[in-house]
Amino acid sequence: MSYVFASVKQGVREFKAVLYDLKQLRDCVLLWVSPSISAVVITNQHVMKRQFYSLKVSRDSIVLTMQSDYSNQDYELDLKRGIIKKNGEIHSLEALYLMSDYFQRALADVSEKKAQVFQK
Amino acid sequence: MSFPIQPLMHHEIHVKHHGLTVIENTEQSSKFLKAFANRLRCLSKSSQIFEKSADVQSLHEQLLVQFHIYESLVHELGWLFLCQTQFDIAGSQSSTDSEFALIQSMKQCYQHIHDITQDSLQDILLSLKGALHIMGQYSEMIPQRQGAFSVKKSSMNQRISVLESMQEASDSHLNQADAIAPRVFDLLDINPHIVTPVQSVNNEILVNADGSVNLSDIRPFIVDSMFHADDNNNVYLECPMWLTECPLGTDMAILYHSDDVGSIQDLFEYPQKHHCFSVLAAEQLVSNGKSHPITRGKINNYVVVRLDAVAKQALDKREPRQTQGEQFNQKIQTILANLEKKADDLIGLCDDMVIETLPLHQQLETLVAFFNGDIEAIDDAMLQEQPLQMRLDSLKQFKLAYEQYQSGMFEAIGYTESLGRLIQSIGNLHEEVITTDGHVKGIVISLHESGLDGLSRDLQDVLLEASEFFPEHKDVYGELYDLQMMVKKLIIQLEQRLASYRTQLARLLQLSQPQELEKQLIRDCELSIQQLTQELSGLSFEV
Repeated sequence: MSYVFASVKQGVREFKAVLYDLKQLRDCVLLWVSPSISAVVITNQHVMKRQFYSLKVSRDSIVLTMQSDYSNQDYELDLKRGIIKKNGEIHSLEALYLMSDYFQRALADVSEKKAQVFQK
Repeated sequence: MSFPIQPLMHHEIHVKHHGLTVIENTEQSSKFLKAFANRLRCLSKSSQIFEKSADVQSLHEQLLVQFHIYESLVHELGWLFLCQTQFDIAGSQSSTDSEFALIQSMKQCYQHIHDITQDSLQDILLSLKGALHIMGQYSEMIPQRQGAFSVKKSSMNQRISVLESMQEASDSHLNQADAIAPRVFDLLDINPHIVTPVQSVNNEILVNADGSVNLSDIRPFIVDSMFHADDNNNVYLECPMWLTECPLGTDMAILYHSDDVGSIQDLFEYPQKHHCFSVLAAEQLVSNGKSHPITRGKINNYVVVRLDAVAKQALDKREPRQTQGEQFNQKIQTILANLEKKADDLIGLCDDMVIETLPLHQQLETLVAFFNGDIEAIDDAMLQEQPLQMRLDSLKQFKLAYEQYQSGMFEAIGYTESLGRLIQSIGNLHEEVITTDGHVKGIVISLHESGLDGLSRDLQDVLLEASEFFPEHKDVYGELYDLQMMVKKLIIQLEQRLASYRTQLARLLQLSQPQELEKQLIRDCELSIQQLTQELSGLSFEV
């Protein structure tokens, strides 16, 4: 029985860590972005480019859009409820890792002027 | 309210692109993006840990069971809701109705701000700095310990080999030596020329056709201190007798007595190690019938050792572990230095904040004291209820004074100075709250910008990795890990305190809108006066 309690306690602790990080993420947007801006968008979209990515950070969600000649994929993280979706359907944590990777890439691209930051 | 990312002004708009406005000045936005990316990274990492955790799987199963039980109980317990009487609900409502919303909120806000000002954010930040300092000291221990550990280990091994060769030590002696060794200062610790016994041998030793052996085969049996590297990192062996350098490709010799060994292979047996000498020196020693220059043992023969390429690899093999240790230590030191720098910056900010919040704190203090009917005496106990008559008098006085203030006759009437300050502060309260809120927000943004929590998480990762790599230092890494957890808790505490401070300020901001505040105050005062008059008349009737 004590093992069960210990594991439950550990699980709750880890879950709390995830919730804390989600809250941090949301706080970051609420703190930084004025409510009169609906979203901050980073994209490497170009007229000549048919393959691009776009990251949209709004007060409620993060949306990663990846488009090429053959496919168009949307990943979304709901910042309020923590729900992850791929093309409108609930998806695994892989989508979150992908978003994180693309955000790092976008940061590098912005500093190298390969991507631009917009606001809506 | 000011946000780092504001809508762009007309003159700042440079490009319109598909209805989106390009941010050309990316200074603020890039700071936001970095902070956001950092937090997203943290989230994905913690989610990964959460998903992989076996405990979570177990928790999930337990929860499913609990939900199942709960579902079956819901219908059985449903009837209990019917037992809740209207009386209970009315009772709970009447208690809240008796409180005045505005004054109550102000008291709560005051209480929070009072608590935070008393505790001060600096306490947490100084504790954070203290924890980081201790962590720094602990992490400095590891490289020192690393050196001492390897020397101590070798000295211990040598002692055992000496005892074995002399055949004097019993098992009990050895155990005793083992037990005492870590506590006793050992002169052998400072001797760099220690011969450690062979740890393990996997390869079979092959003797070449000319009777020589390859160094690559017998490397574990050669004393480590013989290997040296020059400025170009070329490894060579040094003859301990003539001090000649023998680079790779040349030959050296190991001296032995043919009575002691049956064959060349017998020479390389656990745990003995050998010194190599230049072939010429070995020839001379044997021909002159001298004893072994190092062990003083009898010798009558030597075996030639061919120095092939493996010697360099053997020397290099020891380095990565040290380099890795240095790398870990460097990483830990860098993160700690970063954390300390950020904590210093925040301490500087909090100093300013205390100065900024002080006027607001004092004004609120006066206001709350006045509502309690005691304007002069201000202490921690002032939030307690004061006698009704006193409160009634204060509120009547305030209402009258406020009316005079509105009609511009306040100065002429000559109210007390403290009441004058109070009436003035009502007007200034809103501005004060806005200013303070701005400052607190600045600190919260600085905290986000600093990425303290991200750095602390990086530190945790490095510590876990290092403790796996160096199990012998697990105790120190364990201490470091505990301290890191303390740092993490302090950061969370800091964030929570700031968040609560901001929430209270936001509430106060909402309440302290000049017009709203005046209206609310008058309404509350009137209501309060009415209620207190009724209560007093009731009391006098009873008497």
